[in-house]
Amino acid sequence: MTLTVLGIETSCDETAAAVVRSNGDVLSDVVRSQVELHAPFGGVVPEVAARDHALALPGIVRRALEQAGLALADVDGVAVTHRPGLAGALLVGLLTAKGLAWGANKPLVGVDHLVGHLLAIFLRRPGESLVAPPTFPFAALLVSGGHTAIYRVDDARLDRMQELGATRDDAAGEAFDKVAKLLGLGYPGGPVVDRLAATGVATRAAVALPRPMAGRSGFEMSFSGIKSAVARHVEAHGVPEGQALADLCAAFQSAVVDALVGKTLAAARAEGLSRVVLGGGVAANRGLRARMTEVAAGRGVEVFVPPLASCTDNAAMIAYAGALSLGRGEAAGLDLTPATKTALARVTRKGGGKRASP
Amino acid sequence: MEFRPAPAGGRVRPMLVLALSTSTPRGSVALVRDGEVLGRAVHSELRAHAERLFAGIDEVCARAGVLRRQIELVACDVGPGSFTGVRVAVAAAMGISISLDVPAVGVASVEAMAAAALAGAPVGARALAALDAQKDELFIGDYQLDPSGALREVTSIVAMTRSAAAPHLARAMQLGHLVVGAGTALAGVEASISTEAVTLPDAAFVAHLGVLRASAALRHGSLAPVYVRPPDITLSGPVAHRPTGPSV
Repeated sequence: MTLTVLGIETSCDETAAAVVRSNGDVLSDVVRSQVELHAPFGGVVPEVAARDHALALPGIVRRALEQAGLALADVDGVAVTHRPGLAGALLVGLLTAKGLAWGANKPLVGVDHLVGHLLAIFLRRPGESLVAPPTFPFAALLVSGGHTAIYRVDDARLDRMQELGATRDDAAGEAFDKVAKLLGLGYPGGPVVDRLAATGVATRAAVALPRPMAGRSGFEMSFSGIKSAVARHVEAHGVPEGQALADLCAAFQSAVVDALVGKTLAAARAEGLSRVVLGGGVAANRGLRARMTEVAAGRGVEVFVPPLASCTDNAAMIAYAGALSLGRGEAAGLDLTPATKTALARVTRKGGGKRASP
Repeated sequence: MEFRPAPAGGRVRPMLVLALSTSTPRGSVALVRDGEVLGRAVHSELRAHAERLFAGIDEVCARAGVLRRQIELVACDVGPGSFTGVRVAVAAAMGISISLDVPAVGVASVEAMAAAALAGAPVGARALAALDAQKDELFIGDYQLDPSGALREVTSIVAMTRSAAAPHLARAMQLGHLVVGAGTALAGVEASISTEAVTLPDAAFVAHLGVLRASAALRHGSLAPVYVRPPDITLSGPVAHRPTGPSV
């Protein structure tokens, strides 16, 4: 039986609602980004995020239902991101979802945001050419401003997904933001660094950036050392201009991308997996997509990259993951509480262990 | 208990109202029809509002023998108070409003307290209600009972330092106004009345005030929380591993 679920996502700085079927069909997908609100601060301000979610979400929910051409009575359940994320931001989505579920007398399903990302490749958006989705099992690289980790995904459920390695410090997207800030390129940093990097040559950059964890056998990553090396370079020599700036961006991006690609493919090989799925906002990075596809092809690994709308935070992936949960009879009580951490099994201790020296 | 605030005007259409308040450590839910409290639930832990609110809602509906579909209006305490706490009820109220397709109306926390203080008082009586705003400040609302039974806001709700609030509240008391609320103690002032619904906002009075302004209730927008203070600017780290607690 195909289930239709309303999904809600407010874990960070996107307010989103969507209606999706358990076969992956996206009936509506409404996302409102707060990025401009946070830009003056160079990062997400939790209280600013929560305030904006509270004002925006009711309208976003109404639009998602309207665009799907459905009333709440027509859906089979309400799915909501309840972890991980900013506590205050998560609460807005969670309590709204509870109110919707209670009023409509529909089941509530809590979804782990990372599970949503890991399943986003299965969304079928109207107007997109139908690409065959990957079959299980596959390796997945989830990379965004808040998360950077490699997973083994054996099935579309939380207890069949396992972290193989993650960043010990900054998320890759966070490193992009911090470097962009250092270079006076504004916030968010990913798109602008990616654009400049495309016109630069990494080997021509005036600084050699470290390749943290590259020599290690595990699948843990580290990005703060790369960022710090850029910071030291800028402190000593000032912010480069013109071609030198593009070259520095290329060097930084290549250091980050090499780590992501190298560790992901090493993890896939170690696990005997021949498919790699990308997810998260940084999966939109052209340098990452190109390099991953190129290196994977040489190793006989197939790479699956979701369209941009499925990479960045959205509620369609939450609705989809929720629809699958509901199909398995997994509904939450209205006493569901938010959590700042993921429920996915983790192997990397943040900030722990010996850091790789630059 | 004084849970029958009869509107003096008596012009209000009997209406089944679900009211929520989670702006302070004492959360409450009330189901009210025509001034009569059909059911009321209270819980007393700020951090547990998100977890317990709907148990309270189910409890009052069951106690009153009311089906959720019969609810005609959602009234909500929109603060000021704990920023995070306020949003618990506001978000829940919006979800209920959308799903039941009924209007939602916001009532200030301090106004609900003033209404409780002024229940049965003569027209023209005035009450100042104060809540702990943390950071050594109080939120203070100042209201006067008008002939319709509604409250008129004398001055906008403010966040005032404790040292400024002490003489302000003392002077109001000298002028014969009621001075109430959990915040009074922080300013070293003894509250004129110290019953439960006067000390912290109560959903029964949120319902009462909500009905009085039901004609202005929202069908399409969003309830706007009343924060009084601008947001604290602290940057989040990566959301996966740097938990951020509620502000205020």
